[in-house]
Amino acid sequence: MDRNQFGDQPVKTVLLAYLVIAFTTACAPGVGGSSSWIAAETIQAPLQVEIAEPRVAMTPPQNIRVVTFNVHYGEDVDALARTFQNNPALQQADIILIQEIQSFPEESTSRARRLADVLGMGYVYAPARSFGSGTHGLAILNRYPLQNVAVMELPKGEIVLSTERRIALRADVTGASGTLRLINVHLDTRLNATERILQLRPALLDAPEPTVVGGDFNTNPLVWAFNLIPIFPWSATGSSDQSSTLDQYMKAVGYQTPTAAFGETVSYPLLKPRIDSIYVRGLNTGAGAVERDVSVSDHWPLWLDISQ
Amino acid sequence: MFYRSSSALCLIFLAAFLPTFSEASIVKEQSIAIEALGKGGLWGLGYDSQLTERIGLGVVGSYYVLDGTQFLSFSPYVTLYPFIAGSNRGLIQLGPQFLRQSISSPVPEWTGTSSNRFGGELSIGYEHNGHLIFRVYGMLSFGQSGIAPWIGTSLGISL
Repeated sequence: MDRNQFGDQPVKTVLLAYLVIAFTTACAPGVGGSSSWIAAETIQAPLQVEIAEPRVAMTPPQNIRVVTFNVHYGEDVDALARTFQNNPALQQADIILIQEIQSFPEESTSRARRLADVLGMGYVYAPARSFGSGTHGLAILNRYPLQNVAVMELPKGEIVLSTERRIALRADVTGASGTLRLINVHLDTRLNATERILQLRPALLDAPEPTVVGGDFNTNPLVWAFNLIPIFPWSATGSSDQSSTLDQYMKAVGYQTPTAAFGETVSYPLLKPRIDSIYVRGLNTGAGAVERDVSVSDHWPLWLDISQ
Repeated sequence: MFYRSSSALCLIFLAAFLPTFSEASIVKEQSIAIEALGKGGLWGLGYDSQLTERIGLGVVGSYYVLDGTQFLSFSPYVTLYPFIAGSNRGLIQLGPQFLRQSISSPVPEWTGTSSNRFGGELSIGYEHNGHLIFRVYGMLSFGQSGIAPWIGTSLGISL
């Protein structure tokens, strides 16, 4: 039988369909919406921001240790507190940027507050969204008084299945050397590198110097098709490392990338993603590390010493 | 180290199939195929030329854009058929891969980035060579980012 007896038409149809699918993937980055900072005191329940000054207000020294840590809900506050009390690097933390911490009315106080109380720190807790009977959001724990606390709703990723409200939380610390801007962020997971930049960008654009931007940037080592299917790393020839792309963007807007060489910040098998980072602008940086002995979350805490 | 390993793998691969050069008849068959997933990642367009009953040469090219990231790949390969039963064949494919990866900046303050990258891939799978040529295979790619597994299917016709 002649192989072409089957006819070319069905094959052409299938080929055409493939071409249509292939070229319809050539879509623009799917992140949109405008964002602006909203003063914390104007935000109403149920996403009301909690703020408490440190019990002993100290003046920030020239050298400050900043920690960023996704605490994966922070359910076991006592274990979290022990982590900060027992780890030699973390017990010197002056400012802790926390992501994925929750608060529930059936618990006596918010988890951020309980953690701050045990550590003798002040805190800001900004819920990003409702979660069950409570809320889920970002916190900054601090040894120094914070000013200008504000929340920004970040542009939404057009993500199939489960689009979550993402926010940035900002605050200023004023010391002898001037005012330091802190920005804590937690970005979407199933974004590609350009969408990630678009989601982060509004939180950075008006930031003065000096600024610290830290958090869970979710810079996973994947390329997402339709924000749903991870198609990279299909090839070891290519690179799907979103963290290095975000580093390039941050450098372009004047930030240093002092934690770029610290390696992975989550303990996934095979993949070694650097999901969490700290970027600084207008500051000197010193020592820093990822504390991989910590097992209280699915992320490891990352710390960096900075000075003005 | 990577290039030495790749070269050694190629030599072992070819040595195992050298006898087929002498014993097989010349088929000289050509085909084109479209791939889903496979060597191009998301999709690809392929061309194959059958040199003998057990040996062929082929290439898959692919281009697509995902949220501002452009992928242009070119993957030539040698195909060997160690098992043949009528129109059903086992296949092994080995070859290099060239990839140009570019990220177009969505914002004015950054210019974007691009890189040219080189690697290789080894595929093992099944082919049904009937009215249509259907292939399904598992694939290991090796290159600057280490080793990565992947899968692919293709559907083609003889020319």
